[in-house]
Amino acid sequence: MRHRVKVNNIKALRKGDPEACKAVICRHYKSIYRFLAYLTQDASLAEDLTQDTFVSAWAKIDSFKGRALMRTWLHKIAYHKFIDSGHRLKRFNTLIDGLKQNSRDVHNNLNPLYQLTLQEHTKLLYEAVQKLDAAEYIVIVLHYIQEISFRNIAKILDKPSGTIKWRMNKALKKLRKLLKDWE
Amino acid sequence: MKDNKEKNDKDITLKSIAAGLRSLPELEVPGKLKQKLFATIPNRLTVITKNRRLRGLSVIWRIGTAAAAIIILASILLSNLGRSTSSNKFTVEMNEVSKHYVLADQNNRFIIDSNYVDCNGQ
Repeated sequence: MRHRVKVNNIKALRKGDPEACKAVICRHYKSIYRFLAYLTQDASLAEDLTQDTFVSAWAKIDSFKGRALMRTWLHKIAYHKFIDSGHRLKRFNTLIDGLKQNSRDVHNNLNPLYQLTLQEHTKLLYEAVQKLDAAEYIVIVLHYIQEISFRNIAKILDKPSGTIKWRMNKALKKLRKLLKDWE
Repeated sequence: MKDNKEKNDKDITLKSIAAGLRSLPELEVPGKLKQKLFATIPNRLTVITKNRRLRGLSVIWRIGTAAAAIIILASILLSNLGRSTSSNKFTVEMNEVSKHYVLADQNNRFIIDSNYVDCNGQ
């Protein structure tokens, strides 16, 4: 039943059904925007690239066979849009200011001193991630922040799964060296 | 024992880092982005027309490819057929001295028949 629903959605998308397109947008736009924001470090550029991503998705919907997840496919388009834009991977300058304490943050109700410590740890972690090279940084963002599996990251970046895992391990070891004082 | 403790420390640290990354606060998404994205949804009629046009082109391309393949295959078969029938032709020449009948095919490959018959009956 789940497969039939999925196939019907793809058919509806190919026919240009606006409701199907809206459902895809609602489900994935935040994730795509956040991914591009991490890559570009620029909110307005991330917004533009997100729009470009979905425009491209509607144009290429016939090429989407449904073998990969829609999320993976959209991330792949977004990544290529970022590459094509010619912008280099920027480092955190203003990103940390754009973070918000959302309703899912369980630390909201804790005492201020702990919150302050937590914020310091977060800043340290961001600064450490900033020191990773581009390839390691993208893998960290896709796996831990976008919560995408290694297999799907490999599809997004067109690299073997082994390479992705190797980069991940390398990135984590580098972060561990940089965060010696965190524990 | 010491190695295990060191290994455990390493694992804890990597796990802590992974946990820290997963618990990073989410970036705020601009409020009007969704509406802007809704505006990117193409006109339904445009999509259907484009798909029909693409499907039509696809059919023409397939027919053309199939026709070309058939023509190429037919020409290969015909050329091979022509070559095989012409290779059956051979000329018979009589050697004036020994009266050997020598068969030679089109490519001047001579096949000498050892069971020749001498005109003198020898």
